[in-house]
Parts: sequence; structure tokens; C-alpha cells
Amino acid sequence: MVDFKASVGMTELWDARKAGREVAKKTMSGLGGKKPDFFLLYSTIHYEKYGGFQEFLDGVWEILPAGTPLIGGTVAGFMCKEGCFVHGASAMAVSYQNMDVAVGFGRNTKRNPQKAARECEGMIKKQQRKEKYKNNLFLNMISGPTKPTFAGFGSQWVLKEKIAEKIGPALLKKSTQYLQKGHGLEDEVICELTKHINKDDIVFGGSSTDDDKIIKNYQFFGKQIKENAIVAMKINTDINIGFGSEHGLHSTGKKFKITKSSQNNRIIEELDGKSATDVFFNSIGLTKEQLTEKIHDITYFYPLGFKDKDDYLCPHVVGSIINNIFILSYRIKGKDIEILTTTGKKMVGCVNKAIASTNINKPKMGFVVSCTARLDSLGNHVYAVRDILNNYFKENSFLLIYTAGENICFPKKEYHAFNETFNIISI
Amino acid sequence: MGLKILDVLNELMRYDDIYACMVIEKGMGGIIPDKDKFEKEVIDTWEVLEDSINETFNVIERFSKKGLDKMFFELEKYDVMFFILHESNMALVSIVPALSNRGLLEVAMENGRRKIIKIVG
Repeated sequence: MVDFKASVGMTELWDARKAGREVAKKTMSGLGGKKPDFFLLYSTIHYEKYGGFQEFLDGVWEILPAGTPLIGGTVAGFMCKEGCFVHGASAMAVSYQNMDVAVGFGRNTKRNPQKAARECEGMIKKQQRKEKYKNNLFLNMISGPTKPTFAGFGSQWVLKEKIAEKIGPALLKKSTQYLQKGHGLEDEVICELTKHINKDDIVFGGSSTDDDKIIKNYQFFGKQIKENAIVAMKINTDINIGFGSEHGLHSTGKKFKITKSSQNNRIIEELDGKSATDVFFNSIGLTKEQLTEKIHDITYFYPLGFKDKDDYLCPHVVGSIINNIFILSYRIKGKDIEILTTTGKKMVGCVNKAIASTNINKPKMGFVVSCTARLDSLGNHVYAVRDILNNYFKENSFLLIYTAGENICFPKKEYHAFNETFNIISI
Repeated sequence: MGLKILDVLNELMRYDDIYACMVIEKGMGGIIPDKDKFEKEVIDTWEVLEDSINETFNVIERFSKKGLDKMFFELEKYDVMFFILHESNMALVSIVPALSNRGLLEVAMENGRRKIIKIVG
């Protein structure tokens, strides 16, 4: 690994073109004149208003050598050596001799997630027919959920009207399918993608988002801006990759059976034969009447969870409430569900556990995908996470992105699409 | 120094959910961006805030001994966020909508505070 070089750059400039140029320039300067083998690019949503994302990407390509494989997208925030930011752009570039990179994208992830996954995987396969090295890493960014607006109800997280409960789920389904506004269906994309790859490959990614308003998000692919797409990069290399995933949540012991649900267990209507909303909120000492639009202040600290086949406790945030039912981002696998909880201290503490899981003591670089819910919950205390990462990576580069959901599939394990997690890969 | 702090405040005013912001200093008023940039709906709240700077600092000073770092007033429609600039009799203040994603705005405020601390020295 003597010729391995990794670099992370960032910008806080507001002008889209200038920011694109600056983030590319700063990132490239850390490669010591070497040509990057790939370039990961992430930005907050603000450039939509300050010149547009095409300008932003054009700025990047003024600096970046032509033909460099590039994927990325919009995120709620990012963290690197310089700090934690909720405005700006960041990038990671790597140069290494023993590495083959292929990129692909799939369209209409919300309309037909399986087809999008196959399209993306097929595009990658065409470029990389033969694998020279033993390790594969699939990095991805999938368009995250977007909040639909329904006439008469507006765009809210909490709807208490009975009529909304009757028609809301059906409207949401149609909106997701036809308008591509609604569930991100990233779990279905990843489920399909993992069917077409080796069991020893690592899948690692997140859902693009905005400033957690869940209105719009974009994906970057080469010189193109995409919406409702998966963009992915397959890295075939001789480097051993360390990985870890933690969340710091634990069971409250309050367990239920899903007795009525729809849309693949994404919409939970009844728990133990009773109103899902009543059961959930009574269990945490609240009533439905107390719910306001600030629902995420509560649900981020009490996500629902289930154990998968690997005995991994998967957290899912209650995204919105429609009277007696609640909506989750991803499908619950199975019928058993429990309420989880955490504290700020545990949210920070789990970072050390994830690092320990990588089994890499002196990392040369790292990439982290973490949930925006963690950023929103920790607020400025998120700098405690940055301090841990600085201490682990020392003078070497790392980049953490805050997404609307995370997806992973580690060797010989099940795939996961979940919320509130901290996922790390290091080399 | 004042102009550099003003740059930091003007940067904060670019966030959609920061309706108004300023750096207040005990007995000195404060450094305020062009008020025309403030959301009109928070002007009333702003005036109350300006009028109560000294009283607010009485509270800040008392709790500073216990390491006061930030302080929030949750009003009906807005939150007022105070980020204390330790050992300086200054605080960075903003008014944000109550339904904003406060955690993200806290990070923006924290970065603003760090920049101002560097400027103040």
C-alpha cells in the first residue's frame, strides 16, 4: 500500500460554482499530484438556491481530471478534520495502483426499486467483467424519502383527522409510485442489489436528503445531477477493508406484535390488536393528543426495532403519524417489534465501539455514513464525535456524511436499511 | 474585529431558518447585521430581546460559574438560542422557528461561535 493516497477537502463557500471549484481543489491538493481513481462528492442542499447543482458540479469538473469516476449527492451535513458542517460541500479522493473502479446508476428508485438496482448493477458489471483483486466494496447513494403534499392536508408530520387515516396510506402509495414523492424504498433497492453480488462483498451507503426537511434531494453521477436514482461505485482492490456498525440503542423491554400493517410493514396500523399510535405513545408515557409537529424530538429517542436473522437490532424511526397509524421509512422484517431508546452519551459512545469493530488500529483513511437523526439529536454536541474520529484517524483523512437513512451489507451477513446508525469503513 | 464578526453573522443569516441573529455584549448593546435581512415576523420578539440584554446577562453570569454553554427560550412560534462565548461577556444569539430542525441549526451556531472566538482571540 505504499502508493496509497487519500484526501478529503471541504468548502463553506455559498456560491455554487466557486464552492465546486474549491472543494475539488482542496481535495486534489491532498493527493500530492496523483490522479484520483475515484472521487466521492457530497454537498448540502443550499447550492440549489445559490447557483444550482449543475453550476456546482461544473465547478468541480473545472478542477477534476476528466474521466474520474464520481458519485455522491446531497446530505444534511458532513464531518471531517476541520469540523462538522450543515452547509457546504465535501469530497474524498483516493489514488491507488491496485484498485479497479466502476460506476453505475439506476433510475426511478421510488417507482421501481428493483429495476433501478438491476440497471445500476448491470452498468457496473459491463465496465468490470473481471475482478483482479479479492475485495469488493460497493459504495452507494440512493435518493431518500420526500414528504408529499396532499390537497386539504398540506405537508405535515402529524395528521389527526380520521379521514386522513382512511385515505392517507393509499395516497402515499400512489404518490410514491407515480410522483416519486414519498417513501425512498432504499431497502428494496438494496435488497435487489445484494442478490446480484458476492456474499463477501461490502455494501455501504446512505440516502440523499436535504436539511432534514425531506422535501428534495439529488444524486451526483459524473457530470450529471440526478433525482430518484441510485448511484453506486464498485471498488475492486487488494486492500483489506475494516467495517463496523453501531447505534447505541437498547431495548426498553416493551415488545409488541404487529397485527395489522400495510405497504410491506412500512405502515403500522395495529400493535397487539390495538391502535398502533396509542400503543406506541402510551408505552412512552404520552397520549396521541399531546403530539405536535415536533414529533421527531420524541421519536428520534424512541425508535422501533426488530432483530434480524443475524440477531442485529435494527432501528427504525417513526417518521409520521396519521391518527391511529404510523409510518416508518423501511419495512419491518417479521411481526415482532420493540421500542428502543438511547441517550446522547450512548449515541456518542457507540462511535468507539464501531471503530473497534473495524480491527484497524492505524487507519490510512475512513468513510462514515451516519443518520441525520443523530445529528439533529446531538446538535452541537456532535463535535464529541468529531473529537473521537480525529483521535482515531490522527493526521489521516476521514469523511462522515449525514444521510436520511443508511444501508449496509457486510460479508456473509444480511443487508440492512435502517435509521439512527453510525457505520464506518476504514483502511 | 466588529466587521469580521459581522461577516460571521451575515453568513448565519443565509440559513433559511435563522430569522435573526446578533452578538450581544453586556452593557455594550451588540453587533447586529442589517435588520432589513431579518424576517419581519420576528421583529417584535427581537425588540424584547434587545431590551432585555442586561437582565439576560445577569442570568448568564450566574450560571457561567457552572459552565453555562447555551440557553434557549422556547416561545410559541420561535426559539431564541443563546450560545455563550466563554469568558468574554458575549453571546451569539439567534431567533429560529420553533419547528426548525434545531440540532442542525445548533451546529451552524456552534461553528459561528467558534469563528467569533477566533476573531475575539
